[in-house]
Amino acid sequence: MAAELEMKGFSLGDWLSRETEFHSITYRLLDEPGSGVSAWSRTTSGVIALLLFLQIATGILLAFHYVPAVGSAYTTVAFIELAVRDGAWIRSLHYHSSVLLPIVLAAHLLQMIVRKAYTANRTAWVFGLAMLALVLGAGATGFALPWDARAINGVNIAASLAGNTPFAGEMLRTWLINGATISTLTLSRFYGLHVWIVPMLILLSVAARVFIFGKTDDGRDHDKLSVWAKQQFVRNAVIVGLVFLALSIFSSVYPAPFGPQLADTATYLPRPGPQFLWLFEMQKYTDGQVAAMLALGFPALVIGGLIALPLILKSKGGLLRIAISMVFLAGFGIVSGLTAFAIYQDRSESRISEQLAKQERDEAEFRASSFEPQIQHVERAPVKAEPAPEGPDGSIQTASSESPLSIPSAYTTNCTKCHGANGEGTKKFPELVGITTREEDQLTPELVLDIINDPKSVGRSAKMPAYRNKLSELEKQEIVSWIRSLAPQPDGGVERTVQTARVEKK
Amino acid sequence: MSNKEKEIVRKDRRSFLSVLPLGVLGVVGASLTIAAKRSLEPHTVAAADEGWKSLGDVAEIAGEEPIEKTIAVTCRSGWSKTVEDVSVYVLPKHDNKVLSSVCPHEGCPIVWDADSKNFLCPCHDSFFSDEGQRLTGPAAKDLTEYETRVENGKLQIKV
Repeated sequence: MAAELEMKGFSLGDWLSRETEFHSITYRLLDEPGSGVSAWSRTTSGVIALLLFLQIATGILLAFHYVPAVGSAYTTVAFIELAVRDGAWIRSLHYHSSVLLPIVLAAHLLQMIVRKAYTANRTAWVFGLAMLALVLGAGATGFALPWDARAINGVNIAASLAGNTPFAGEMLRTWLINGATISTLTLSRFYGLHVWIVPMLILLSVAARVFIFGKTDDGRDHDKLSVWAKQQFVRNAVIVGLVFLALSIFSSVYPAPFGPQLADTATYLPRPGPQFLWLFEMQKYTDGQVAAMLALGFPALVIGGLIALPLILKSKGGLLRIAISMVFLAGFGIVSGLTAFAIYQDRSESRISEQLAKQERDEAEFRASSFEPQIQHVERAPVKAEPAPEGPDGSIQTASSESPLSIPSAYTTNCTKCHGANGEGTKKFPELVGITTREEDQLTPELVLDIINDPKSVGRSAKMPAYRNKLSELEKQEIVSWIRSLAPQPDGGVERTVQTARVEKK
Repeated sequence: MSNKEKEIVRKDRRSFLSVLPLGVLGVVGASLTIAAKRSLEPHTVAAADEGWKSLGDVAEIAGEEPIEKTIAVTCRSGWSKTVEDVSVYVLPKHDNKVLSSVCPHEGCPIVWDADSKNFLCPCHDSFFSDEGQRLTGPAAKDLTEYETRVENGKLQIKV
């Protein structure tokens, strides 16, 4: 036995690779023999494997910090960017490899077209196209997660495109935003799609490609093939190593974009990632159903067409080649043309380019700042009859039993212009008396606080500015308590009002 | 070179070449492992506001029974800053001694049992006297006592 091992030159690496089926994965990355330039051009599959791996690995690391709720998403991403060690690099790797994936997949498809691999290896062809659709889906859903100004605008656009889809519009829109308005539930939906559904589909596709459709009983000389395969594996490794090195350095120099909170966005110009600039440019010229049909129909037509053509034109080699090349080039041409034009427009119009430059400076300033934690929540003390204790920093305030409470000074300085000196409202703006009790409003203290922080984040009036950073937490709580004290409480008791209002602060 | 020698050379070259991919995998894996280790280090900052906290007018603290009081303690941990309500027991019967409500056994909050005049921990049945001394149960120590003082007529404890 020992002699046999010696003779065969037993190698741990070979054994591991056989036992773990690793060799079949590497084998799948290689397809058929070739040499020279054509062999090097075929290392795109290795790069795709690297990028998918990076997406998953960095995604998991981000998930350790990220909390998908309107009140915490932005804060946790800011925390990742500013406070987590290597956090900015990890997020940047995640972002840049997501931009790179569609580009490498396009290159992969192009080299398959040149080799006519769309008929020779149909599984690989369909897999490449499905992967392209999935990584675009991953990008489109991941875009929403930071809940910054870019994300919220992106969600608005996605919701409106879904809503304008013919026939099923309203249903799609309600499903996507998870309710009637954009809320924290919308974020849960994008989170579920981005973190669970799309990666699962990607992993399942990879597994299917490698293990189910990966058999090669092609009668080729397997000895020759395996020498070639090994060499090709080395070529893949060289390219993968270079790409990883370049991407690592690039990601440490250029962080992933992170916009301001929606609160400070009067002039902010949201821009999508480079892989979606074509879609962004398309939206400038279309509206309503046309916009929705183009946004969804264009990629569906290109990807679906490329999948379907080899099946439709099975026997017509020459015609098939022309048709496939035409569809690919048309799709690629339209995407790169629109992308180039979007960049050109942003650069050439001084109003826009100046604002974009300002946004870059703001972002650099943000990155240079230190992380400020926000008060996440206050645990409620049991409401007791005994006098509440007092303390220097917002320990429990006892409310006087006479209602209403006195008007908070922060209200007088910030809110009276629109809502009246005593919350009675003005011509154009609503009164506040009773908004917490009236049937049609019945705002919870949490919602009132959300509205003060940022009306848009809970789908309210866009005219009222966001006060998230303009008032202190204590001032906001005073205003909430005061508004509640303006109308009789169903559970009767101002004391309770103060308690409940203090409970909620994300 | 004989055919056999050629064969050996080729094999050597092959095994060298298969080290390279493993090396690349190693570099990618190692970079991410280091980043993972660094990024997952916990961010802890101990209780942000230490110092004296008021429990109210000392004149109003009276009676036979321990009085439960709550103080707000701000804790910062990573991206969140929480204000926690920590409850303590003031013992007017024992010179306004102030006890922590945390069981020294495994950290459950203790409660005052007015019938037996004992503190008891609901988790594993540790009993403590009305002065906080351990009576029975798995807890090995007495209830923790806070340092106290009276300033401007207010009872204060050191957190």
